[in-house]
Amino acid sequence: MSGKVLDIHLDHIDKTFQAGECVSGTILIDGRKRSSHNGITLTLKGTVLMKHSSRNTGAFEAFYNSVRPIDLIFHTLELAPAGKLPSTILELPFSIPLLPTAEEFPLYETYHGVFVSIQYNIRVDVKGRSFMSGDLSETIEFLLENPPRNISFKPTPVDILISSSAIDSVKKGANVIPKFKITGKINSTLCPITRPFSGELVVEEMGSKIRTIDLQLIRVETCGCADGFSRDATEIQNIQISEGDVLRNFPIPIYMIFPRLFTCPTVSSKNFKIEFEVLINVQLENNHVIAERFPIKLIRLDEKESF
Amino acid sequence: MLQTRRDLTQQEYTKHIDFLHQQLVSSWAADQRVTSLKIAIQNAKTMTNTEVLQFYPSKFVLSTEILDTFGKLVYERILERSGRPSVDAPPSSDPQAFERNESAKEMCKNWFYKIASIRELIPRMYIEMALLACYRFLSLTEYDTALERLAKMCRGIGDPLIAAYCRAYICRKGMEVSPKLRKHLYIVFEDFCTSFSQLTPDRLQHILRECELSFSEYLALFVPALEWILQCLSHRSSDDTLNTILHWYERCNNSLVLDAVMTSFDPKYVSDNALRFADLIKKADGLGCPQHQLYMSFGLSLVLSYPDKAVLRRILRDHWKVIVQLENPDDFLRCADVYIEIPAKHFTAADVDHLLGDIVRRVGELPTSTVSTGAGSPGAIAAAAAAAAPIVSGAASPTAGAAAPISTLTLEQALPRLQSILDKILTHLRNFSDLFEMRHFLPMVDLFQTDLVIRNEVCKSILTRFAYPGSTSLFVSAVDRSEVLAEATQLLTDLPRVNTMMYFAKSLHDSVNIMTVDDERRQITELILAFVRRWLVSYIANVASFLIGLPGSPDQGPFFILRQFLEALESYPWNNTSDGKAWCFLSIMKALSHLRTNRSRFNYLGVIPNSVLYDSDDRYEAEVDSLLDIIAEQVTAHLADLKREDSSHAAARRATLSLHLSHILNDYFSCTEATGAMALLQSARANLRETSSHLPTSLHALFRSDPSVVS
Repeated sequence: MSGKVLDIHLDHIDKTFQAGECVSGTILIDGRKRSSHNGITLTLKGTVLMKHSSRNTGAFEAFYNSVRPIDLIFHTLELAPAGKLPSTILELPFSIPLLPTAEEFPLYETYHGVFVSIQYNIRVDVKGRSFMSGDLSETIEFLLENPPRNISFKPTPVDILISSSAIDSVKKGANVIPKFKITGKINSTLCPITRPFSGELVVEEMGSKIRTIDLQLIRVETCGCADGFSRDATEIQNIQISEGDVLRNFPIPIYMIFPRLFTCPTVSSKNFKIEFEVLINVQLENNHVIAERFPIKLIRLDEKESF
Repeated sequence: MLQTRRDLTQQEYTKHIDFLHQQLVSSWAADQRVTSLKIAIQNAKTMTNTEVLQFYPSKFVLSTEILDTFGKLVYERILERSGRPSVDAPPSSDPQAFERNESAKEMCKNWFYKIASIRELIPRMYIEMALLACYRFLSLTEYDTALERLAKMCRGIGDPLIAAYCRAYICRKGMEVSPKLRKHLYIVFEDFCTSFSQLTPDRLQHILRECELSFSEYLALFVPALEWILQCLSHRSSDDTLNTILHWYERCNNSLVLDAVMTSFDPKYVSDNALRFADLIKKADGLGCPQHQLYMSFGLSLVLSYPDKAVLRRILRDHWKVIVQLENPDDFLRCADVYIEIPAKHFTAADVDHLLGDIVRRVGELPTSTVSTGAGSPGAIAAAAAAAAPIVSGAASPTAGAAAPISTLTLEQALPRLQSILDKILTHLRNFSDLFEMRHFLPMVDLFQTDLVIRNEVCKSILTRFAYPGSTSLFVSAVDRSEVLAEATQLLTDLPRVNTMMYFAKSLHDSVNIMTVDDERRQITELILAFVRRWLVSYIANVASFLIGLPGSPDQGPFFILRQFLEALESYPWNNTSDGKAWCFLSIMKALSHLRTNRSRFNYLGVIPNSVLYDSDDRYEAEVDSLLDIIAEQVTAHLADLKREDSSHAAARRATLSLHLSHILNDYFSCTEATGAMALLQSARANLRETSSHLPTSLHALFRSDPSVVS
């Protein structure tokens, strides 16, 4: 138990539990290092944490820039009344059903964002008896996933067409934008979170040399209520799919794995929203950037994983 | 942390990479996995850098070594976590083992998630390829999808050289994890051809100028990667594979690619499609690889595996026309060195002579060097070394084809190549006297006059071929021994030829001086002796048949002189590596057997022969039999010696001798029904049965068709 007096072990190696099932594990207390206690409690807590960005709000609101968190699940268990500990390692197994506490909110999946975060923690407190043996506390985060939906998945493919003819003539007249045409296909904008984002891209025509083509995965987080809300788009990750001046008419694969923790199935509730977009970003040697945005919807579909 | 700069020498760079390698291993050992991953990524990033293009292939080797180490460390760590002896071992069913296995899986997933978020394309691909083997922990079917995806992802690499090496690494890793998977290989080669077809000197102008490279030097940098890809493709390939490959090749029609295809695939594929290749060679663009190199690679395949003779003849005729026209004499000789083997192996001496005529003419036109030459002169040796150098560097060297200065080739420099041509003719020579049928053989040998060292070598080769017909060649490993005597006799009857052979022997003999080392001296002695002895055999056969015809002495028996001659033969210090003595005895035996069966009388005009002198005298027949006994004993002893030697060469010699012996005995036995000869005949037959597989094909047929031998 890695030398700690108090430790929590979860039963699932990947620390992932499904809503509707039980989160289970064992609490380990080393009785050789601590002989007595004043009560052991376990707290299970799932919360949506939100904050406004200062950019979207005034200085006054920014002062209160954290919005009141929403509790999704909350349980406290008294595991043991005050007493002595045996002089070995005490193992206290636990198992708590993952069911929503608040009626208006389901259990959203774990998500670590910038302005919105959804976290599930288990915290164990061992109250100390005296000054010499103070309180002990240990917190562990576990990941919550919704059970896969048993529906037949129908991909929603989208054609890519980015071309200079779509740009208004004012800029063209300035003769800065080279002639170009980029085509391709996104296999589906409805994306099972466990499968890669895929498709292909063809540079059919490009009047200038290309430096790089990137796929940018973007989260769009909205939080707030009637009082006003903030909406921010930030980058999660940037994946290069082409380096240097690629051959024309040579289909380049679009391929990106959705990172864990930083993505979750798209959420749209009355208090907050978590949405995602993919940006295809073509940088030219002369520092021009050609970009096109593709909103995507992430869903939890089945258990087949990218890996 | 890691920058490739122009100011770094190759050695410094190598040292730096070695340092990184050690750092990776030590930080892994210290449980600093993130640091290890960072080093691996840094290292993979260098593959993006083409600042010093010439160094790119070496850099690839150095960097992938680190990546391989990294992949191995991760793999072993996951394997350790899984608690299984190997990934193929079925996970045990007890819950603890299951948990360990799940934990290994989770660890593996974590690695792949980590890799998937690497921003840059090339490092991301290289790291994933390095960890490819770990997919095994997740599922058995993961490899093919991953390989296919990685192969396609290479299309995103704009720089064709970087893309080519990345593709080579995919093939390499694919071979490591699952050699049966092929789909990605096809994608890789198809894409390679597509991207190669877009390479033009115009497009690359500024890169070439920056790196001070010529266009063909630049293309040569692709060769190692291309060869690796093709080698993976050709591994256990089918005819279909080659078809597909040629189909894609036609997209770029590039000589360099064609050359790599011909050298990577089994020669049999090339020769089965000989006409198609001949056509492709004609159409190839000549970029990156000179035309003569293609002819050479093609010729080599044909030498190793030949097509239908009519096709072969047509190709030889067409290609030789082009080869003769090659401007650079070195290119010409290199091609000739390959193509001479085709007629030497498959066609007649006249065909060889045809090629030889052109070769002698071209070499004769070369200027002689101003350096004085002679045996042991440093000039000659230096020249020989200089000329030999391109042979060593071969086609695999990235700079091949760009070297070989035109028109500076001197006669002296051409001689090693010429010598190699001569060696090939000698190797495939079926009949020694064919050599003298070639009009251009002696003029060719004349060309060696200027360089004594090579001339001696040439003389040695010729004498070796003459003395040990079976030993010089793989293809005629069991030269028809029955022709050996005939050959020697034929030579004897042609004085100019004997004179030529004598000249070779003599010049070899004269080359021996105080500087000659013992070993060399011994070799030369043996060769000259072998030549003289060969001569001796037929001479002895002649003398013996003459002696047989002489009338005997009333006091000392009918064959008193022949007896003494036999004694002399026995006491002669025969070289035990040759069958000369046995052949002498066999020829005498044959003559005696004919005498005994009254089939020939060896009569001389005005001389009364033994058969008349001793008409129906038992003593006469007994004397012949006793002589036959002595001889048979000698031959049997020799056969026993050969049997003890226990080599295939000895077995071949034993087979031929036994066959002849049994023929003679069979003859003798059928007329005399002498029971004493019966045992001997049986032993000869046993010998023959044991070794018959070593008989030359012509004799083998004889052996089969002769019922008396088989019985």
